[in-house]
Amino acid sequence: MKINYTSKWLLQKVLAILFLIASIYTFFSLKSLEFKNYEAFTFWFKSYLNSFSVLVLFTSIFLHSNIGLTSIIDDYIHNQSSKKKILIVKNFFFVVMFLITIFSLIRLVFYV
Amino acid sequence: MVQLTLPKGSNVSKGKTFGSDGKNKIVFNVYRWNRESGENPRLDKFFIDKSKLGPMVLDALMFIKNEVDSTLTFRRSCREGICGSCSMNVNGTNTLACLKPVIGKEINIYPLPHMRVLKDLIPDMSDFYKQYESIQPWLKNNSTPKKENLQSPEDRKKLDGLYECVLCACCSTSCPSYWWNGDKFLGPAILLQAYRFIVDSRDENKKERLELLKDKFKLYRCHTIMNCTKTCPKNLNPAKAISEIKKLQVLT
Repeated sequence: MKINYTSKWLLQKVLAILFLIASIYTFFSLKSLEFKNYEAFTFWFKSYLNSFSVLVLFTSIFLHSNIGLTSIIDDYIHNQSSKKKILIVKNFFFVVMFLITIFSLIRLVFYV
Repeated sequence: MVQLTLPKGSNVSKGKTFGSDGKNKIVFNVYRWNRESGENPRLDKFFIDKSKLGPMVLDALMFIKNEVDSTLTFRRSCREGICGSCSMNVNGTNTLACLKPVIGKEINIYPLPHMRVLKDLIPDMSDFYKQYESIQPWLKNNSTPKKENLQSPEDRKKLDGLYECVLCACCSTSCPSYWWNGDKFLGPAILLQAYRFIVDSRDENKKERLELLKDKFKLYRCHTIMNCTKTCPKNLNPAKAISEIKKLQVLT
């Protein structure tokens, strides 16, 4: 399948904006709280807006980093066989990180 | 993987010294390499009296060739920044020797970086010209116009800052992306030329031209490093032209 790199380029810019908005919201939202204990911190995640902002924040970080790292690998690794292996490891890493984020958020919102 | 060490035989050694230091003298350190000699490249020192030189680096090189060492090899033609022949790296910046004034006590002159050297200051430009050819740098129309194809002043204005490019390759050879992927990435000079034909109101192949550039290597190796704009001896802005192409790719 031929990937449209214009879409990828645009997606990277959009993700950067999403990351900026989500990080600003999360930062100020967390700053306004006083974390006296673990319970107060986990309570913050009970709000769907807060947990959604964290989800957007981490998703945008992972997707943006994924596109950026792919670009770096394309730039510097010219051996096709090594490139393929490194891309698989990189994709696996981001999938695992994303799954950990989802799992942690579900646990914080519904079970803690 | 990217090659992190220099290939065998490419270390620049200390070369010959012509003349001696003195009052009112400028030292020119010039890269020399001759394929036929089989030796490593060297850096020759030329101590030249400032009063004998013209104002530009090209004048100094021509003085050296005429009066000191006739084996020194470099390209030059118009000596006024129009032909783009005398592009080289002077004091760490790619520029046209004919537009670079002789300033300071020491001047280091190398060929354009990351290009195959043919001899001394002459780089092999054949790949660069092939890339230029690949963007079809001529007006393409699907029909033959029966009368002169005129442009409005507004349409003509769109070509300002683009048509002035003399294809000296200073910008392309200052681009790290072009250094690593010079075989696949078109580089700033060629992309600026591509944009020049994309925005030309007399050209009817805008869509096809944009389609040709829709490639992760040809266009999207540009990471907006801006070395191209910083180094351009004609004060053009190839980075802006590239970003305009990217914008057009999204909008069309």
